This record gives sequence, structure tokens and C-alpha cells, in this order.
Amino acid sequence: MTSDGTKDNVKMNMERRSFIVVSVLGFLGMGLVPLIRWAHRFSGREKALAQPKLLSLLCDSRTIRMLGRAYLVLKPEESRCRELSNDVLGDTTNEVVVQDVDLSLVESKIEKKIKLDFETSNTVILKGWVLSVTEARQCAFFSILNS
Amino acid sequence: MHTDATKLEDHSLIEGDVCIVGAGVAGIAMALEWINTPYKVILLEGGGFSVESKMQDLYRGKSIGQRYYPLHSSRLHYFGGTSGHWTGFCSPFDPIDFKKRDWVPHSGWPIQYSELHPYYERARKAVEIESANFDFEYWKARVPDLVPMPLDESVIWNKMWQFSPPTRFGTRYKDAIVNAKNIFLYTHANVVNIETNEPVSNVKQVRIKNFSGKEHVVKAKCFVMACCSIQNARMLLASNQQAAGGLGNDHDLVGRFFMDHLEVTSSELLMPVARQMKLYHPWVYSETKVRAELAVSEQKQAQLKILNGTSGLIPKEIARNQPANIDSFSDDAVATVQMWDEIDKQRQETKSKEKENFLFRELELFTRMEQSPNPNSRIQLDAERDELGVPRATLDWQLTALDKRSIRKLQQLIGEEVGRSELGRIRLMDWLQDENNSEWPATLGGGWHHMGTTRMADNPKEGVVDANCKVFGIANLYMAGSSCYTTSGAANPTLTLVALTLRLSEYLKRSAANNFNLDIELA
Repeated sequence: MTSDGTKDNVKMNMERRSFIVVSVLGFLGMGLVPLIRWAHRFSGREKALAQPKLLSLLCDSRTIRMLGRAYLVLKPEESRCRELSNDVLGDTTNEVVVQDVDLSLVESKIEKKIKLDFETSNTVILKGWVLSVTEARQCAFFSILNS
Repeated sequence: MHTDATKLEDHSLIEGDVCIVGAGVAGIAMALEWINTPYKVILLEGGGFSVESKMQDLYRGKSIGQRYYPLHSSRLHYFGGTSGHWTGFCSPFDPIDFKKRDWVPHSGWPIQYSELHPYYERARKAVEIESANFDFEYWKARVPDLVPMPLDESVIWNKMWQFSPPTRFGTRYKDAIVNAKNIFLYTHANVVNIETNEPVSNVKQVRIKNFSGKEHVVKAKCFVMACCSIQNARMLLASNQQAAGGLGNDHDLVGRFFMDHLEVTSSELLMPVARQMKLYHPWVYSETKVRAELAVSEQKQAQLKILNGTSGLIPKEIARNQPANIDSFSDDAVATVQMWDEIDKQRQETKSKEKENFLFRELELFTRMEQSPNPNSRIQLDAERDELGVPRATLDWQLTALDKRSIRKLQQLIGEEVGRSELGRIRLMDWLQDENNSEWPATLGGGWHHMGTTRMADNPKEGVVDANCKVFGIANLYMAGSSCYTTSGAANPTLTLVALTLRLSEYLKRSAANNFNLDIELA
């Protein structure tokens, strides 16, 4: 009884541990992706990507979302986040600048790109707003993240 | 010398060297040039020295095209003419306005800006503005707090405006005209017919009438029609006893190419922070001396294939209290003139007491766009006649797709410039948002700037008058004023029409020195 009982106890303890490990892993498995997504969504970098700086000073988030949707109606092929993010950050040589982690650097790059857009008439008229294509993409990104 | 034609014996004959028909801005500007010359100048004015409803009714007419102002109140039929309700906006045409532009059908004057430029100095004296220099830098040196927006001048530049007091030609120059020994002013002398010799190569005389029922004849060596664009065309068309289609109308061009500036609120400028905008501040009656509008460069006009145009900036708090001109324009010319007279009297008292800081962050852009010359935009004769028996004018104001595209492109260009300079953003008005929408908004009006009905051209197949404003085919008949404009430019017409009239005057004086060098048949 004792030896068998000990064996039984060990076996039971192992099963409980496995259950806990599996449960914890399962829980982590279910919650991790949204958590990562959540963390990713609110990273400073994506905030910069999805926030047209000057435009945000002139109109509310609802208007920016509306402008973003209008852009996506015009350019449905750009409706995926990754492409949009690359397009917003891509430099003049179309080289994708994804490695920048310094928020101010990212913002500065976007501002320069917007200025260049206006200089080169790379603009689009959305709901009457004369926008740089880069900031129109920022609006689109914003509308996707906040849909 | 002044004579009221109603007091003359019926069927009087009046004779002179030069007969100027119409004592408005052009007619008076020309007559002033002839004071103390050896020539006898007859100046005919249909109205009297005060505006009268009955006289204005002679200008009544239908408008069958794009919505327009009442014809009987948008111009004034008395001594001084439409200067009686002029607001005084002055700016010269730009060199590009005279050029042939391959993207603007029927563009290209037979004269260039350089030929008119010397006359702007004299014109500015007539309209009593400070300088003939309209360069921004010139004014910046005089008024240091005129701060320009940091825009690229090769794209958008500051077109400067000066403001006449405004000069009411009727009151300002009445004494000079009436006291001149060789200027013979006849009021209540409405020309009802221009009569030529049989081959229709010379004008023999004009017939005048008035409400007293009297009719007189005026003979001269040379006739200058200075009655405004609608009336100049109307009189040529109505004088059809010897030429079926009217005088100077062998090619069916008289009355065509009627133009006005397209004036309409087109967009709004939104900035994150307020800026000092004194340079662009809307005109304030009797206070504003100079201001700027945003104009599109010649280079950009060519690149984008658009018309010339400007945008004025109006702070939103001011704009929201201003109804569209086309909605608020009075059809009572007498009341309008009385209102201006009252304002003129009170101008010293109405000066604003508070010093403004001119800081604004939200403004509306008010476009003033050249109208593309369009043969279908025209003055014709109506079947109905006025009280003196002259067929009334009918206006068919017609706009084109180029007109609308040009307004949209101008706003887009300004949008790109304020974006590039990080000033703010431009938002187009609803009616401009869809580039495929060809409709015009109800708020669209003109500037009651009538132009182009006897246009200037190199040859009679393309215009009614030659480079000297002489009607093709008629040796002694000239047109003065904005009816001669081949294109309308972006600027208000008054300063340029005075300059063009002074140029015509000089040409006629040279001709006069050669006894007009004409084969005149004086009956």
C-alpha cells in the first residue's frame, strides 16, 4: 500500500503539474497574440505612422478616420497595414526604413517626406483637403488601426 | 461747357472734331486729355448729373445664361457712369494676359503689356492711387508690417492692389469738364443710332434722343464709343440700317466674348497657429491703401494650362457675415448710389477706432478668376425696345470647363504651397471637390466687370477693333474701355481700361495732327 500509495501520489502530483503547465501555456497562448498586437499597436512608432501631425492640429480623429477611408476607397490596393507602413516610411529611393526605433527620427522622416510630397505635387484631394500622399496614407493607417 | 439736351431746340445739329459717346470712366478720362487742345470735343451723356430710375431703365435687359446681376443696376447711366458705385480696386493686368496662350482658346492681344505699361502711370493719377508701382517689395519698404506668407514666388506670388478713394468721376471731374472751353458736354443725350455713309466706311453722324421727345444729330470727324461693354455692343448691333448685322459686324463678332471675372469662395485655409495677415486683410472702405492676393505665376499657368487668377484671404469671422455678392446685389441702382454717397460723406467718422492685430488662423479663399474668352458668351439684341426705341440687350453669360478647372487647380496649387511651407492645409469647398463635376455653385458671381464685346484683334475675322481700338472697316469709329479687351486678366478692369483709353486718346491726337488723316464725308 505504502509503495503503491507513494507511486500513486507521485503520479498524481506529476499530472497536476502538467495540468498547471499546460493551462498556463494555454492561457498564455490565447492571450499573448492580442497582447503583443496591443503592445505593438500602441508603440510610439505606429502612433507616428498613424498620426498626421499637422493635420491632427486642424481636425479631430473622426475626420482623420474619414479621410483615411476616403484614401482607401481611392487606393484599395494599399489597404494592408504593412504596405501602408512601408509607404509612409519609405524614403525617396523607395528603400523601406523599418529599423528606426527612435520616435523623433521616425517623425522627422515623415515630416520631410510630407514636405517633399507638397514640393513635387505628390498630393491627393480627399473630401476637399489638399493632402500630401504620405499624410493621406497616415490617415488610412489610422483608420485601419481604429476601425 | 455744359448743355442739357432737353433744353435744345428740337432737331438741333451739334458739330465738333471728336465726339465721345458716354461720360463714364473711359469717356471722362478721354475728355480730360483733350482739354485745352485746339479741337472741339463733344461729350455725350445719356443721363444727367444724378442717377435716375427712368434712365437706368434704358439699361434693363434679360439674362438668359449663367445667373448674373441685373443689367439695369450693375452699370450706371449718368455723368460719371459706373464709378458711382465703384469700390476702387486697382491692379494692372499681368504680361501673360496679353500673350497668346495655346491652352486658352482665342487668347492673345495684338498689343503686349509693354505697350500699355507707360499709360498706367497716367491712369493711376486719374483714379487717384498713390503709385503705379505694384511690386510687393516696393510696398513692403513703405509699410514694414506687411508680412508675406513664406510661399515660393515662382509658384504663388503676392499680387498687390491699391485702392482708389474711390474716385467718383462724376463729382471729381465735373468742374474740369464743364469749365473747359473746348469740351462740350451734353447731358440727356442718348445715342439711338450711329449712321454711316453708304459704303459703311465712315460714320457721318449719331442721332440722339431724350425723354423730352426731342431728337438731335451730332456730326464729328471721329466718334469714340465709351458707353461700357454691354452698351457699346448694343449700339453697334442696333445701328443696322446700313449694315444688316450692325456696324463692324461683318464676321458676327460684335457682342460675343462677353467676359466677367468669376468671383466665388473656393476653399478655406486652416492653420495650427494664428498668423499676422495684415498684407492680405480684406479691403476696408476708405481705410485700406494696399493689400495682396495670392496669384498663380506665369510659369505655373503654362505648366498646368490654366487661366490667370488670384485668391483673396478673408478671415472666417468676417466671411461668415458676408452673403455672396450675387445674392446681395441690389436691383435698385438709385438706392445703391445714394448709399455710397452717404458712406462717402461719413467716411471720416466711420474709421475704425480700434487698432487691429490682424491675427487669424482660419480664413476663406475668395477666387477672382479670369474667364476664358468664349464666343458663346454674348450680348444680343432683344425684340423688346426701350422707351427711346432702341432694342434692349440680352446677356447670355456662358462659362467653360476651363474656367472651373482653373479655379480648382489654383486652389490645389495654393494648398500645395501652404503644405510645403508648413503653414497649414487647404480644404476645397464642396462644389470643387469632384473634378468631374461641371456644375457651378449658386454663390458664383461676377465682379460686374463687363468686358470683351468688341474685342481687339489683329484682323476682322478674330475681333471687332484693331490694336488702336478702331472698328475694322470703319475709318472714324473707335471703341473705348473694357469692351476692347481680348482677354479679361485676373485684375479688375478699371485701371487698365483707363490706361487703354489714354493710349487711344494719344493715338487720336496724333491722327488729329494730320487732320485725322481720314476721308470724312461731312454732310
